[in-house]
Amino acid sequence: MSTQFEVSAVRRSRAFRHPGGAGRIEPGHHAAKRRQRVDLVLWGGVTVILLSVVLPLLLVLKISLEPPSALNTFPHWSTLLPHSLTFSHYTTIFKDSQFLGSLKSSLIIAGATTIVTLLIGGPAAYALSRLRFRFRTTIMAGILAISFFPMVAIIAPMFIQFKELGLLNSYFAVIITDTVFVLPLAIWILAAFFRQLPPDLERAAKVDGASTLQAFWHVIVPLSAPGVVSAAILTFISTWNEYLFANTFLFDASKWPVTVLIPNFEQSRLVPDYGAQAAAALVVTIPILLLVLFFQRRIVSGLTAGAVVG
Amino acid sequence: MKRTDDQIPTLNLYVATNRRQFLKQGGSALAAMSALGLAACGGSSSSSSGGLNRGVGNIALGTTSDVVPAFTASGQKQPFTLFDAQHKFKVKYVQENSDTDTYLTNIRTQLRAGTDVVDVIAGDVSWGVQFGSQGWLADLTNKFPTSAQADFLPSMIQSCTWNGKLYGVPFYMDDGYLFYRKDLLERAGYSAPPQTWSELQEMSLKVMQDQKIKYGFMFSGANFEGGTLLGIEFVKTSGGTITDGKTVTATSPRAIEGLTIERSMITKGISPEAVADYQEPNAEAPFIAGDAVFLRNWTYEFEDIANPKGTGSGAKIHPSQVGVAPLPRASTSISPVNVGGGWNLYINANSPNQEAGWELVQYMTSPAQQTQTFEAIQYNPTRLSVLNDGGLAAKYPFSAINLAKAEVMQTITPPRSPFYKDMSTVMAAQFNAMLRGAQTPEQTAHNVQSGLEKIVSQSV
Repeated sequence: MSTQFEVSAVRRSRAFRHPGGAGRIEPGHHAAKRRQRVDLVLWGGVTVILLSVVLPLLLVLKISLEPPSALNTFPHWSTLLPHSLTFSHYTTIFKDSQFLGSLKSSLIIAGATTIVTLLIGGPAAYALSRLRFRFRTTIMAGILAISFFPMVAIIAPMFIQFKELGLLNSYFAVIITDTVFVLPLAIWILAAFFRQLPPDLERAAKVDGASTLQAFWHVIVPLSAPGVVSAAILTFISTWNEYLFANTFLFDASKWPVTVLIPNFEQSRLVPDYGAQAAAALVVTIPILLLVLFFQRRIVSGLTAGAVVG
Repeated sequence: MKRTDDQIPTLNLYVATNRRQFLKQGGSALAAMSALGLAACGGSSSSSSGGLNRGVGNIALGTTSDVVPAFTASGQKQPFTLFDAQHKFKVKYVQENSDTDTYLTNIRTQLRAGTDVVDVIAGDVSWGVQFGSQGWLADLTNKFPTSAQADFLPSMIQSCTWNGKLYGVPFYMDDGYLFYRKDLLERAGYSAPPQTWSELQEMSLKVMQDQKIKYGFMFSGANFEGGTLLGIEFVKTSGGTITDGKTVTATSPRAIEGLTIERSMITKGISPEAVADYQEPNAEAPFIAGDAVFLRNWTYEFEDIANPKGTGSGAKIHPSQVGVAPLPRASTSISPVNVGGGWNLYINANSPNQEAGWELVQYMTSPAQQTQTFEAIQYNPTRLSVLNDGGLAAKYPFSAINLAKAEVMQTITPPRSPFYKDMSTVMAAQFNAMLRGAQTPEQTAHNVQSGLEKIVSQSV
């Protein structure tokens, strides 16, 4: 905001100093042209990115709305409009008790992982942003390194460990592994957020007689809502979309989350029911979409925390 | 990031009075968290080894959902109620992922970890050697003597055999056939389906030109397991062999001839370039819609043609227009062959229910049950006695049992090797690169040769 104001103020003052005369207003004219070019590039970029994100989604929407035979007409991708309309795929998935059950499983796994992640990540991030101790940067880097670790490489040892612990085929196995992999992201987002809150806030609270915990709870927690919300939503999304661990550790089809179940919609052996898969894929993105739309502003402010060092 | 420490004002020390206090508070948060976590996920299983609550003496059968109707009595929702009523133990059906590769990955993890998540495994023919060679499957040699094997298709028995030990019992067959448009060929003046690949190409071109048919020969050449089998099949029908699992002969002239024929389907305009991206449903669709003369597909095609409703309303052809033949060869001196297989039943070596598992395997592969399986889901039997059941053939005129018994007998299974999956990955990628025109058949043969030799050398 302020930069925009400054720029326009400068421009106004220049125009003021050189009123009238075609040659005189040239600098402003050039600037406007350059701005137009920048706008063009910007909007061009936005369009390309938007299309590459939205087009596949539109194709999935289209597949979910046409009868299976339409999928096999050639060429299929010539139009984004369905050849003919049907809602049968949606009735298929909502009549399927297994699909509804898998939504519940997804909700349990993603919900529990989010709560656990925030409860561990919150205090951890607070400590990392407020306390001074040796190797703190190393610890932050170490935490980040966890998220670079290829999940596939540890799946077999994890499996054996969960077998020893008797946790196989239980939500715990998935929640624990999901938490491990999503925690770094949450800690980094939260730490960046806590860091930008002025420490004077807690100090003031303490002067007024609050304990550290009280200061954290009554001052920091309410103020960090945007950071917490964005960490929570990103945690939820990545867990909601997680496939590998759920597919490996859960054997009972009744415990499968949606990600594991969706590829199993099929018409017969070797013939996947693409329509039902597409419908299900769209349906499961809706909760995420609502979450993001609802918390949009908070997510952005949470993510950009600490981006500008004042 | 290097600077984060310096950015924190010293005042911060003052906020959290000391670290110990901070940790204490963190600890209480952790405790609260774990309580919440417990409440949130509840209902965890407390069963001993596998983690599946199946009760003492009950057996867990891992299989995909497609075979379940074959074991579900009419009017029942649960499968295996008949079996349960006749036995002291019950069957727990464990639904496995319907994508075979995912299923393979999962079951391999479970077996490698020594779990008994499932006692009996219904799985691909190639798993017997892959798992058996690792000691993960029960040796059934004594339970399943030669006399009992006699009724089963020899190629399927062979697929379960490794180093003189038998690791499985054939469950159902899946075979490759050439489906062709009888009506189109007749109109073009051909009285019989093609015997050789060059005849197929000649017929295709004539029918495509004279009768305005879009495509000649449809097959699935994508980079996947099906692509591997079809590549091997082109080599086999040319009299060559890629590997027997121990030695690699991919660069033999006959093998190269087979690959050259496969590629020529595209270069001669008989198959669309897109077959390089086709899996079975994509290859099948134009044929069902009446746009192709020939189709190479698996057993389920009989049902899709006889009962086109299952494939959606796109079907424009009637079973009476379709004929079935063995796959063509490079020359008539080569005996007809197709590369397929099907599924076997295996018993987990770690299962505490060996005897009960064996009873279930016997039940699932009995002549009565194989007949039932064929009637319910049209999967080909592995028993010769059921395959030769005239009554079944009469009852299901458009089926492999009635029309293509010879083709079922000709089926050979993929190469047997403890490293089959690795081999298949190499072959699928190489065959696919050739179909896309990225490399010549000769280069493909050489790449397959060196790729497979590397894998084979692991086992020596």
